[in-house]
Amino acid sequence: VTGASDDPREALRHALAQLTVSQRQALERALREEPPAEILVAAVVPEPGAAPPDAETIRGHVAERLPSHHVPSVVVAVQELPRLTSGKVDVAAIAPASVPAPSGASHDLTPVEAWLAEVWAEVLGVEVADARCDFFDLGGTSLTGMRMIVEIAAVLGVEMRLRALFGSSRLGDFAAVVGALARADPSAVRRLEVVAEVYGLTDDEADAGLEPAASAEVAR
Amino acid sequence: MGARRCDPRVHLWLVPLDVEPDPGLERVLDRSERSRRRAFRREEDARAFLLSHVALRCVLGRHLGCDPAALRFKIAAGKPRLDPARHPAGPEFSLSHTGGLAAIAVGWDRPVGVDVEAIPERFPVWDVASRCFHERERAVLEAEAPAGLVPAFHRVWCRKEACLKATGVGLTDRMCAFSTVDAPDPDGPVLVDMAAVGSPPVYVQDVGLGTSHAASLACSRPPSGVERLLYAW
Repeated sequence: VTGASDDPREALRHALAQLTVSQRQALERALREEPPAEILVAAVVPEPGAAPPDAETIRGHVAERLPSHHVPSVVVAVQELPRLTSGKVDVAAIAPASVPAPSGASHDLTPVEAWLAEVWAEVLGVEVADARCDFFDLGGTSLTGMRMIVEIAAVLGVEMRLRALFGSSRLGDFAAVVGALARADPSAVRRLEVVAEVYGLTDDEADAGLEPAASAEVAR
Repeated sequence: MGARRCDPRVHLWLVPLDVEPDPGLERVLDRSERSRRRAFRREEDARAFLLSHVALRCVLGRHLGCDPAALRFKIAAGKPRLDPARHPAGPEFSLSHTGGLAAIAVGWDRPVGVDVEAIPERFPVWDVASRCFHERERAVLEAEAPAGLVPAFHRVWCRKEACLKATGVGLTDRMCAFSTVDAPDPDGPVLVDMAAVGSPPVYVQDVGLGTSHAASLACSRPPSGVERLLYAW
């Protein structure tokens, strides 16, 4: 059992998609509390050929051996722990990897994500249709990364650090970082709003594109 | 064939990536590399990763006289290295791959960094150069004829990235703080002052690969010779 709670909000956001409505509501309530609740997500790799054990079995097993704060709230089964280029376990990817995506499914992009997806697609020469797409999995390199950062920074009129991409190389996470960066500068906010209008269908959607920035700033 | 221990030369392997991988090749990679390989969206990127990492393991395995699949890597001081606990006398190395070609530099007694980039037909040279290049590097570009601008940009980029890889600084937001074009001897390695990014100086030299690719090799000490080797699958 591998604890995957390095970034509970991130892991939870993905894990939430698989929970029942009542489970989800209870966890969302816990997450809104201050100080922020810590929720332990466990990713389990079953023996090859064996059926994944159910969550209650895992929790019982852990509870017998470890203090209660080590008992995971959420248990997901994965075939293999996904890893980042650096070799570290890709915490954020654990939950989605456990559920095969419905065919043709793509998370709807916010307007800001849609703009960034277009920039990525141009720089990388590959279609970017899902907020979970990772820049480096799409074939991104340091040079294409720098080219992309320079373009985003130029549109927003802000300085943008390359580190922003290395820490948040999924489209959705990167959009949150871009949003947070823009929010620090009133003129960048206006520019991002213009971008969101161009890439969004309605004002509501344009607002939604800026919203993740608020939570990202808190989380980071 | 393998370099002797304390061989002062740097070996530079050029690895063609436009070959169909043997189905068994993946067995040479460890779990983390296999997982990374599967994460690539495009088959061409997954194949380039597979081939270049298999080649790296085979080159290092041959130098060390051990099974390529048994090599253990570890990120240390900003770059991937052989795990010193498993390979106490392991060489320094650097890997770069792009557009059908990988380059692997191996230095026994000195850190090395290599970067190779395919030269595209079009590139937003000034967008990136204005942010990442030193003013003397931009002056070199300004002196280029229009037809030579994109290749010249990529040569300078490769120099900078090779320096950053050799020193373990890695890609930095202070790329414009050091210059790689101040060569006292146009045919010899350039001594690059890296103090601005908190690193000792390195020597960098271009690796001629014709018109399709740019490549550079950086070492912490001047290599007494660079031995170019072609990797045969």
